[in-house]
Amino acid sequence: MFIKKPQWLLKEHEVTHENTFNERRNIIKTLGLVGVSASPLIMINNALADCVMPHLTAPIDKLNTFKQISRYNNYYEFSTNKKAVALLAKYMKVRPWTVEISGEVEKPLTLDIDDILKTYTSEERIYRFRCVEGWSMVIPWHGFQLCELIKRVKPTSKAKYVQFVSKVDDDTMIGLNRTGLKFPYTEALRIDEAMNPLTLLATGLYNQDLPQQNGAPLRLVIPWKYGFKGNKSIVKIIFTEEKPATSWHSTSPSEYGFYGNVNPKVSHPRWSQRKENRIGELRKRKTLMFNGYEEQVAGLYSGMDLEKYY
Amino acid sequence: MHQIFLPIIVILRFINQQITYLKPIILLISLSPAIDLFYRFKTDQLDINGLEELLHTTGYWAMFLFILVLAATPSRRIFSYLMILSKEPYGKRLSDWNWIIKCRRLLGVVSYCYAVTHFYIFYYYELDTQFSELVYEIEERPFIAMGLVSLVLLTPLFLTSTDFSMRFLKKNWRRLHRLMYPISLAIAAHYIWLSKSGVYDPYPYVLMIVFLLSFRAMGHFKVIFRRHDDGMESKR
Repeated sequence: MFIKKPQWLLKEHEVTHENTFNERRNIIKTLGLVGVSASPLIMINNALADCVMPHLTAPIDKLNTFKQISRYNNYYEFSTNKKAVALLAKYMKVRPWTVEISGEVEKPLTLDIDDILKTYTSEERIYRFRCVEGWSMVIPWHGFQLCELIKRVKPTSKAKYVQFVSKVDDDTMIGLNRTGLKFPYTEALRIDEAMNPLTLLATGLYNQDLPQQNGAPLRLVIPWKYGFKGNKSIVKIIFTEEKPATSWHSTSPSEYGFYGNVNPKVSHPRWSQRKENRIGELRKRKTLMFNGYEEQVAGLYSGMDLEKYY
Repeated sequence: MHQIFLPIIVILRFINQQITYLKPIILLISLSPAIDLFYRFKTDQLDINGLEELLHTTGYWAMFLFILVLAATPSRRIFSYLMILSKEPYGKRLSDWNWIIKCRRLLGVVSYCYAVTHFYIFYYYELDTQFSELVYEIEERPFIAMGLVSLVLLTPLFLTSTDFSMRFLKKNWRRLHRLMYPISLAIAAHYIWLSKSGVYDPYPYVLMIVFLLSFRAMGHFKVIFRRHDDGMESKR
């Protein structure tokens, strides 16, 4: 009896050889193209599969130069002057460095930074960066997903928030005695925000080690939030049940919220967030909801009043 | 003591006598930040955040020259008083410091030019030449409203800075130019409100403005500057 073959069934010669298929994946990975899911190859080694980098569809604009990224920094522990930070931060020692992971976890750890760099493969992630002050950049970070580190320590069911604490280096941080911002710099995320595959622990920039002024040796990058949510020079990661206090929110609760999501509709009390000043351009451009990552993260906030929870 | 001050006295006397010919130099000096900024703008040598630098530089010099203008009259009285106290041979008369007053108009006009440029840069790059955007901006950023108030109030002062206006308005000229006082408060509010919390840049200038305003207030209520009428100034 004549059985009609279904349309979707590929002919023998149309099927890609398994070897070629794997080889192509390798080539794409080494080219470091963003958007093409290179992470499946890493995920083969990772037992848990839901930490997968989604395909980013928004086109990436021109990258900012290394000079722009490393010479224009907000790092109040050193200075409020953005140009002075690079000059002062270079004296901070980033070795030896340990990261202590504690709180509501089954396996609390203290890891040496070099162990972290060896264990977790860093890949290039080009993200838009938006500061709450109203300027933005496009930065080619090098880092690994935070969820990979979280899965290793196995947070318990009580862990609802992840708190990050930055380094306080009394020797080189001359801006520490400022009244106002509370140090050590503390920021926090909800556990689901921390588990999102976009959330990155950055270890490098433009294929080099992170400069101190950008948060060496480990910096948190959450592209859909304002920059102040991403701690520089992380020394502690604490999993908590209660919402932790965060530095900027403690200093100025009306200006800085816990979430800090990029939202053009919610203005700061003294300035608008509708437009942003892209470094390298003079004309301002419209700010995108969740900094252009709405497709990937809007689900985290469904049903939430974003005007109230800013 | 007098030997130390002698060269200064010679310079002051020279300045007071030759002020008409020195004004172009003062004009050039006050315009030099604008020339430098324009040059750097054209040759792509602006700071990393180009727009912020353009706005900040024009705004800063507008404010700085404004403060100099505000300080002109009190400083004439203060310097004369200091010269009297230290018993100098020159500078005890108010008229010895008239060059400050003669430069006042020049500095005021240049300050206004910086302010207009400051607004134009904002209009061109931030508003994208859409005036309708201004409504949203004022709503969301109150410091812009303060800036607009300062500019709008400065405009009649600029327009009536000519000799003709002074003669035409007579007594009312002085009354119109008392707008400087509310303008100075609007400028201070503009600078304070646009600064992030933890940034203390505006406060030295706010302090200068408050200091100068309090001088004027004290002079008005005859707390200070109670010199007897030497016939050198017109009746208030």
